[in-house]
Amino acid sequence: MNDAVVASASERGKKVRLHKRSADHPGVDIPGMILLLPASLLLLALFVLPVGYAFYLGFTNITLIGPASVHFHFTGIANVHRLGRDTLFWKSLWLTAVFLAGSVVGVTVVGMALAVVMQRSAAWLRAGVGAVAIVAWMLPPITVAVVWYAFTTSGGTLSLVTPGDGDSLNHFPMLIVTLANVWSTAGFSMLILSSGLRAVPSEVIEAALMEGTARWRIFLSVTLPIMRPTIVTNVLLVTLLSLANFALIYIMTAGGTDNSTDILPVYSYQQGFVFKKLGYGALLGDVLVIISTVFAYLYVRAARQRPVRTRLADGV
Amino acid sequence: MHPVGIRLMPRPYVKIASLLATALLAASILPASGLAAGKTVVTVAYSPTFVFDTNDLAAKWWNSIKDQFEKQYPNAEVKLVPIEGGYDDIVNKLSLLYRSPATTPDVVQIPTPVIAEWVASGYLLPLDSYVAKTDWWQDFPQVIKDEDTFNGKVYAVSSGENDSMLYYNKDMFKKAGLPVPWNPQNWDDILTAARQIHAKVPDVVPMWLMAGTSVGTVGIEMGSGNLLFGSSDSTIYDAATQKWVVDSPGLREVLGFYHSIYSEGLGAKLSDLFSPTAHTVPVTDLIPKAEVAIVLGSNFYGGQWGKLVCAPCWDKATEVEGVAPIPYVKGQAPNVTTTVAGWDYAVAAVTPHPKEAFDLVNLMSNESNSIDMANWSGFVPGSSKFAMAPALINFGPPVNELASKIIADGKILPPLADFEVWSKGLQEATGTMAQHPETTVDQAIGILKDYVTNQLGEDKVETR
Amino acid sequence: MLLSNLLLVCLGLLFLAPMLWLFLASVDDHASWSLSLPTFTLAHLAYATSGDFLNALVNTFYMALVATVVSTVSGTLGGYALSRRRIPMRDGLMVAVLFLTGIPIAIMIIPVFQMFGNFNLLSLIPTGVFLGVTSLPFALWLIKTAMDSVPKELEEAAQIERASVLQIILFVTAPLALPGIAAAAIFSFISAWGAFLVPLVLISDASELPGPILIYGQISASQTHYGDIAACSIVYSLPVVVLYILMSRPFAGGFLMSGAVKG
Repeated sequence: MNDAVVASASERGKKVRLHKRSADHPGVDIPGMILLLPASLLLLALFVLPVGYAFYLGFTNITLIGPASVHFHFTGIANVHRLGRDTLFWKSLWLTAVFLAGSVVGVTVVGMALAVVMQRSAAWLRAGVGAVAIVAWMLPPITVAVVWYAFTTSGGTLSLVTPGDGDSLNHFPMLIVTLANVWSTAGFSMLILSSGLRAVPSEVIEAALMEGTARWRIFLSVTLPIMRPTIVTNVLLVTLLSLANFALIYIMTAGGTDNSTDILPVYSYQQGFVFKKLGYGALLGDVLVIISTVFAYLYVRAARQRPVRTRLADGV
Repeated sequence: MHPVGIRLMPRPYVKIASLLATALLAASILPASGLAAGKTVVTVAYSPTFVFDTNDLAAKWWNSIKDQFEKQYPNAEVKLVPIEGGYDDIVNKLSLLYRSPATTPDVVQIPTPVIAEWVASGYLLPLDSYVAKTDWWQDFPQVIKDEDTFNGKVYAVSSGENDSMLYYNKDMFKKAGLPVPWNPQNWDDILTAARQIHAKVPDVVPMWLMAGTSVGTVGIEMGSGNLLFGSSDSTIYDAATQKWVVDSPGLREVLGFYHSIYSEGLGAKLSDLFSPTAHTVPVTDLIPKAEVAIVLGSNFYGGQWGKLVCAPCWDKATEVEGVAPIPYVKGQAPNVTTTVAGWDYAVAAVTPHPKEAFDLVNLMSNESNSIDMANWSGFVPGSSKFAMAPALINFGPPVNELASKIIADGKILPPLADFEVWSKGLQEATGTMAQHPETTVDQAIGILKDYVTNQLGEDKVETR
Repeated sequence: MLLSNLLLVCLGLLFLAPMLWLFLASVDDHASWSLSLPTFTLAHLAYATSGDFLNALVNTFYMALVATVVSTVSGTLGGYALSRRRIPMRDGLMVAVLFLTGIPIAIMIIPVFQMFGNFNLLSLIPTGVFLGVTSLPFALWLIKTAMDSVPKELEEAAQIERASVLQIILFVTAPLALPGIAAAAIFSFISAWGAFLVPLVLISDASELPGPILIYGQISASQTHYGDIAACSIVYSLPVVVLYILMSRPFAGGFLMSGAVKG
């Protein structure tokens, strides 16, 4: 009972009161701290520290080559000023938003389609297509990039069914990289949405069917609302995955002609490693961290509520 | 509930854990080599895939160097450090390696455009006293010596240069009624020939002209840079004002040429121009398959069609393909224009054994190694004597002979880090012209100006 | 059911379409980016399973193994601590851990390069450790959530039997939370196997380069061997596919999100 009380208290945003629980166990939990030590040390030294240092670098004039690569100094908000004036940065933000929106919609729709269709199809077909979708997800990024480059370039497989010179990659770069991302993430979404779909109580569906409601109406007004938390989790995870997907776009288009696929991770890499302006590239990376953090926070809020509600519902 | 006893790990686990830990730690700290007691280890960083025509020849040349050196200097050992990836990746990796003395290679084969930046960071050792004692340095033409000299000191030694010329298919020219051998005297002559091919020889690309950003600064080197150096104003970076030129009569002439080619349908298809392998598409595909009439291309094509490199083997090369130097826009003297850029050997300032390091450079620069490097990578060797050696000339006729001749008329691209920005701006402009042929010269200039201004600031650009 | 089957077949084909080139080009003597009937040859597959590339695959394997061990071991211990022990500010820590999941690795590359460079750790195994650490936040989350669902009675019984903490973890909790731990391990392995940017920057020694770097090198080489690229890509992706087949039962259960998505 204690656990549930404390956990629900924190759900309401109050600070965890250790003191209440320490009534049972006085003193610091040394074994617990020791168990946490390896993970904490590793994360601190190899994750938190570098991120902090990278944050600092964003406010310096460090370059990859040249005198400022060795002797660089803190420049205050000079880089931030540059950010404000940089039209390419704003374009990059916009492209990132487009890429994320397109990916999330695409992945969710395809994942949901797979999950729904699989519910009522032959077992062998389910296993086969499921395997293909998941293999597509597990393929390493460079393989996905190579495969999709070949698929969409002039003379590639897609060009067999498209008019003109068949060069989809160069005519619709953002569309193609988004499709590639959807293709390589849909399997993951299919798994999540399948398990959420399975958890929809069949009695509710059957009751609606007996009332004569059409299947698609049931889907829209009954199934989807029940699956809402799953869908939200799915959306947030796909967003985080897509934000991190640097290799795919970089290898396929290196930013594209006219910077048409220059999403923020690619632009940050370009500034740092092509133009050698590491400081400015780091600042762009910092912006990326802030954006990721917002989405991660939303995911945390969505994910934290679930287990507690379930525990309480189970009458623990 | 009773407090859980604080007991540390049971003994067997401790043993296993500590063994594992030690093993992992040891594996990560023990250096791969250098345990050979007493021998001086000279590390040399280079590209195993980007410089030579084929990866096999790269392996062959570098392994041979290692053997020759270790035979000649029994107390020394060569450790080869190959750097994977394309041009940008190589530069990036090298810049990361140089940040700490422990990872800095003693010797490096580095592309010419970045040497100035390396010097500015204090990474390279001045070589004046060393090159004075060699028998080959004096044969280097001034323009090549200059590309490696900064503040009056020599910081690198050329391992070979690339320059550019016009390739043309003699059969197509004869079919179109154009003169063979072809000797264009100005840019109008080139356009006329392209137009005639377009009219008389269907189904081939009239002219290959690099456009777009897919291959980085190499695109300028093998494309627009050559034209700019043969225009009325070839300035890219104004050293006097320290500003980048984004609008000039020269730039307008170059973009005007691009406009003619692409708006009249005389150019290649986009998927080839924008491919990540655009710098080799002409030599591996378009020319041997007779799909293009005129190519503004690099000198490395010549050797590739021969039996040794065979990338691809094209035994008809000498009878079908002719070469001509690129003329100036209006035929001004000397009426031969080309960019000159290559790869150079340099020694690290922090190397603990400079003498052995330069001994390696000296070995790599001798006649037989220089000529092999040149033939197998498509270079013109630094030494003008080697450049005229029969072994070189006959390796890729008639290309190599012309390449060696025109080197002295070449110019160097600005060896500054921000050249990457300017070059991306110009290639955005040419790429847009290729993709949207209705783009006007004014619009193209606008693209270049906006891009460079946005990246470097208003105070770093100028119009001439 | 027929309609569903038909739709599923269509979806399946759409997923297979891009992979078609991979299979055809890997056995085509005249491979290029285009799709064409192959002039059959085994040369590319031979190259992909020989010397250089095989060495790269072995490197990738070691790197991924180290990453998995680092991430799973510290994740299991830490996950148990976060799930069962009194950790100050635990909820805050969990939130922080989840924030870390969202941070793009690219931003950490330069500082990590400098740190590793200073201690002469720019090689395969330290890179594996770093990759393990980048998967650690997600692993911690997965394992802790899995352990949360393990009933406490069994542990309490073990405590009464005077078992030590480590024994409890190893013999009671972990086995019951195995789906979550396995998920974390698989996730870490796949992430490390596919890692591109990190090894590109951190590893310089040619003999230590992993698979993706070699394939990337082939794409930007002076002479592109498309057939080799295709064959290498297939061989390189095979272990991951095999892993999926071996673990397909747990995956089909969607247990990945077992803790966070209770319907």
